[in-house]
Amino acid sequence: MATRGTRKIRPPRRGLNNGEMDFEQTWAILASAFTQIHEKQASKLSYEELYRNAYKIVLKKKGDELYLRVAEFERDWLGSEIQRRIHKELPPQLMNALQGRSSAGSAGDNQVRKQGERFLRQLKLAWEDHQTCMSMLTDVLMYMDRVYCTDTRRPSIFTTAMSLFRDCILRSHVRGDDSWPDICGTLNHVILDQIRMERDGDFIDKHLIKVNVYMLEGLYDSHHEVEEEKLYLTSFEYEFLASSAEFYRALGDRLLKESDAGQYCRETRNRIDEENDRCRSTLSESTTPKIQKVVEDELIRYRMKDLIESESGVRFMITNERHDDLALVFDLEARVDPRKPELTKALQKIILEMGTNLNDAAQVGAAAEVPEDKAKAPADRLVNQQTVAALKWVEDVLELKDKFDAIWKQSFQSDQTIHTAIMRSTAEFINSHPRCAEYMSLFIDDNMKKGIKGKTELEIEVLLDKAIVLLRYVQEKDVFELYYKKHLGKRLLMGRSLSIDVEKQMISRMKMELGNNFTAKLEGMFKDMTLSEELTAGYKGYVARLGDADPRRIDLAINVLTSMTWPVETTNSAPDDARESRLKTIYPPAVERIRQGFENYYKEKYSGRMLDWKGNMGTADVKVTFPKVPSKDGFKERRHELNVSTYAMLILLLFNDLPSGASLSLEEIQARTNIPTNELVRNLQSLAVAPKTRILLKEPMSKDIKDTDKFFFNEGFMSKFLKVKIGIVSAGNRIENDRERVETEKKNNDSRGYAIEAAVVRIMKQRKELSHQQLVTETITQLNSQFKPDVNMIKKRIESLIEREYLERIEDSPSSSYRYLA
Amino acid sequence: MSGPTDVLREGFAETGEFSDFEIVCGPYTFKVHKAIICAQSKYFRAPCSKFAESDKRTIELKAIGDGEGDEACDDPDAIKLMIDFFYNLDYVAEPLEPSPVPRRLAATSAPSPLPPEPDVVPSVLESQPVEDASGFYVPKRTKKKGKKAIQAGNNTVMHAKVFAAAVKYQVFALQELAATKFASATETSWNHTKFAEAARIAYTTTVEEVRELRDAVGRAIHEHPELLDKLSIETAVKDNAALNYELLRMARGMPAIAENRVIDEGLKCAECGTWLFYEECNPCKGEYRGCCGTCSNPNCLLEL
Repeated sequence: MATRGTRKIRPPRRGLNNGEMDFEQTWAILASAFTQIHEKQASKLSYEELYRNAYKIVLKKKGDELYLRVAEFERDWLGSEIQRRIHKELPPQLMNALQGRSSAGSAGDNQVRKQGERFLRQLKLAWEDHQTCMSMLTDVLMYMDRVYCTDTRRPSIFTTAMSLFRDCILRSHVRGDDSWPDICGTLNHVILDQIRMERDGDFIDKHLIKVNVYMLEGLYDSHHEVEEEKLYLTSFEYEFLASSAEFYRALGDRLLKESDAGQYCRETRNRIDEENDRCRSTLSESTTPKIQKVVEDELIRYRMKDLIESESGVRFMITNERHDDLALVFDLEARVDPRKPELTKALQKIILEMGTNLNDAAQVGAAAEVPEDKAKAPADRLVNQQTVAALKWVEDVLELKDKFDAIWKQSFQSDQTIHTAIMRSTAEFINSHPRCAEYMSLFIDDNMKKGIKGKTELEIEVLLDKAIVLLRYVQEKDVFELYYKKHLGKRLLMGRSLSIDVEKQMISRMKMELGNNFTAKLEGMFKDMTLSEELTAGYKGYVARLGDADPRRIDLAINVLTSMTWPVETTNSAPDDARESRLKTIYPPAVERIRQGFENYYKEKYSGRMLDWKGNMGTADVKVTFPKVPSKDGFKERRHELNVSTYAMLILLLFNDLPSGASLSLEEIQARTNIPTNELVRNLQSLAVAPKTRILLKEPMSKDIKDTDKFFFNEGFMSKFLKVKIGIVSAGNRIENDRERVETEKKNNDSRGYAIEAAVVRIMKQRKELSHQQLVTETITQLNSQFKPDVNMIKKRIESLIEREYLERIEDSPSSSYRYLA
Repeated sequence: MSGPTDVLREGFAETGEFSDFEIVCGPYTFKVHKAIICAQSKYFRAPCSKFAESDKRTIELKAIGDGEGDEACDDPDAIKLMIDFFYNLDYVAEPLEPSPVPRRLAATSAPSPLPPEPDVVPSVLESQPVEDASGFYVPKRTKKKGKKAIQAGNNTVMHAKVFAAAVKYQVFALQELAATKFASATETSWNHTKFAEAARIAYTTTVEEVRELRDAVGRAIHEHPELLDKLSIETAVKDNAALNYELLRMARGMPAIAENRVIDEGLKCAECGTWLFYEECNPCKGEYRGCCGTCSNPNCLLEL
């Protein structure tokens, strides 16, 4: 109590009073007025008189006595009259019910509830009266508060009276029985009981509770009026939060068992809103964040994992496109943790799973790879199947990505963390597919050849964007470059590209995405194409100027390819052909003359350059006259223009000199042309086996070409078209077969080796000395944009550089380090 | 003073227009405005909204001589000045008559002539509005001067009374103004006959802890010891123990009030060492018996 212990510091006063004043008499006036105030008959009292009397007492230095008397007065009043009124509203039945000591039925429940409300009302009344009376007393005692309380550092009389209310009312026990909680505890129980009813859907008198909460907020646990010691905090809030936690724990259990995840989320959000409202309308706003945390803990934080992983959880929502539900899940988890760990984890797992499924499906589509030599044609079909599977894979990946992008935008508020998670797991499963780079390039190839036909610019734009987006995920950019070069080269040389414009757009997009280095060679290819056109035109002019205009002269269109820029595969299809290809192809004199002519022209223009003719890459238009055969309009010679490969042209020209009905064997043809075996076989296949372009006849008639087969000119060739295009078997859009892939990988590893060496030398040149670990780390960082270097490979390259004396080991360094040798 | 207060004074204070409350004190009845008096003084909030006064819309402040114990009553003139202040943010106390020539008692020793009383002519606030040619209202006022040039006059008595009223009715701005005026009037008019009365008022109408007036009085007597020769001062000092004690302290070169009062052992019970009370215990009338005299009355508040 504030008034205790004052005796020690009371200063001497006796004899200081001038003029005796009858304190008792003055106090009697005040006391009777106070009684009237408490009995609500204040309107007859003269304020001036009361104030003057209180003023007089303080002026006569009886301030402390007045203070104590007033406190005593209030204690009496509260302790007797008010206490009695409150206690009357607490019949044993209510007390038992609140303590859970009796099991009242629903009828009893209702009664208990009514009793509780009556108690609340009575307490509210007592509190409000006390406030009103004390504010009037404070008015009267204003001078005492100002002069006496300020100087002696006493709490104001109002504060003291409020603590008295706490001590005499809230801390009192009904019928003096200590085994029951005091009034304050009872109040907590009643309020919690009411809140429980409201949570169960009942209507309660919110205002009534709010007033009582105001009271608890206005009182303090001790006479220090510090914020943390508000009775509301020390007595009520703690119990409220504890009982709420219990309630929501049970609710969470029940909801998880009984409802699906979407419903759970909706219920949770409603509950959170409800608790917010409750704090605003029934309790105190200061509790809002705390009760929110309780609900969030119980319904979200501790449950999120179970919820997301439940049967109707995130996986179900994604499969069934429940975007609203997903948004709810996101919303809820975002409340408790901005990083949303459970949701991201779940998403990553799901994406990875779905992606792995796609990979597996693509693998199954490509699985049935039969060794090539078993059966050529079925193998080709298989390759085609695989190609289809590859394209489907890319499209599926795109679809999957679109799906998650849509979810991300619609449900996850374009959240950055989630975006990163989606990106990461998408990249992970794409790169876990060993042939992703090839497939991507194939996808673009397919679109360049067929896909963009009939599409508007806008659609093409979207397509290109998609291709670039996918490319972003591919880690092994160098492998992609290799494939893209190969595919692009074929497209350019064979004129298979639908639109050079779109090709160029693609390149410029790649340039933006991956940088100049990446596209330099690709651009070089385009440049070669343009230069070649100029060369062709230039050569025509050159020939014309020479003057020997030969009407039978063959038109020449030439493509000069820079050997480093173009993929080697295009010019050199297989390693075991290397020996054969070194044999010079024999051109018939008419063609040979032109070849020579162009070489002369070219050497004139660029001295010192070597031209290497690639018969397997070129095409020729050949006019063929077939003998007369009977037709509708009588006998007629039939002329057809055949578009064939350069090699096929050479083969056909051989038959020019043959008498009708004569044949050539495979070996003869090879001997007279020097065409590499596999190229020859392939060309003969398309000339003699393919059903619609059978210019030659073969004996025996079978699909396979054998060394001993004989070939005849097919005089009875029929076609509805004037121009006939004779494709080369399996030169189309397809994935690589195994042998090719081994080749590609080897090439790729070689070029990676060079890239690593270059990076190591660059780094060492700059740093001079570096530890092994640092060197490896820096190398990886430098090369990361192109591919993910293998550490073993880096080690080998470093060894090789040491052998070649670019680097040396620093002998006496504790960790292995290198020095650059200039 | 600036425009708004002029408007207040001329618009409402003088005409009583829109008045919604009355303050009665002695012969005066002031028609006032709740909004203004409640803004100035916390005291008036209660009677304006509660108690019998709010019904009657009138409060009667007991004036000295109305038949009750006078200490707690008011001088109607001081109340008038307080209400002036509500509307003007300033007040002017009527100047006192010049002192009559003091008579010498026991003029045995050589008379030490008192210094001549300074001739203080109170200047009157000139703020009568003048209409200029264009008919616009142009308030004419004295030049604004520094704080020192406050219009104090020589009426220390009235300033003390206004101060007491300001403390009683919790008009803090007025309390400060009256204290300043009192101090400045004391500096010029300490030699006036009425100064003794002012000193008495200063020491009886305010409690020890309200220092402003007490310090001014103490300082004046301390700085002008010749005042102690005056009968009026002698009586006033003798009558008031607090003034007595404070002067003693000042004479010893100490501050009037101890900053850290020493609570000494001298008043402890010799038997048990318990601190003794120096005043009688009112409810039980327990008597000081040279011992702590543990109070047997359970109602004794001092035992709380």
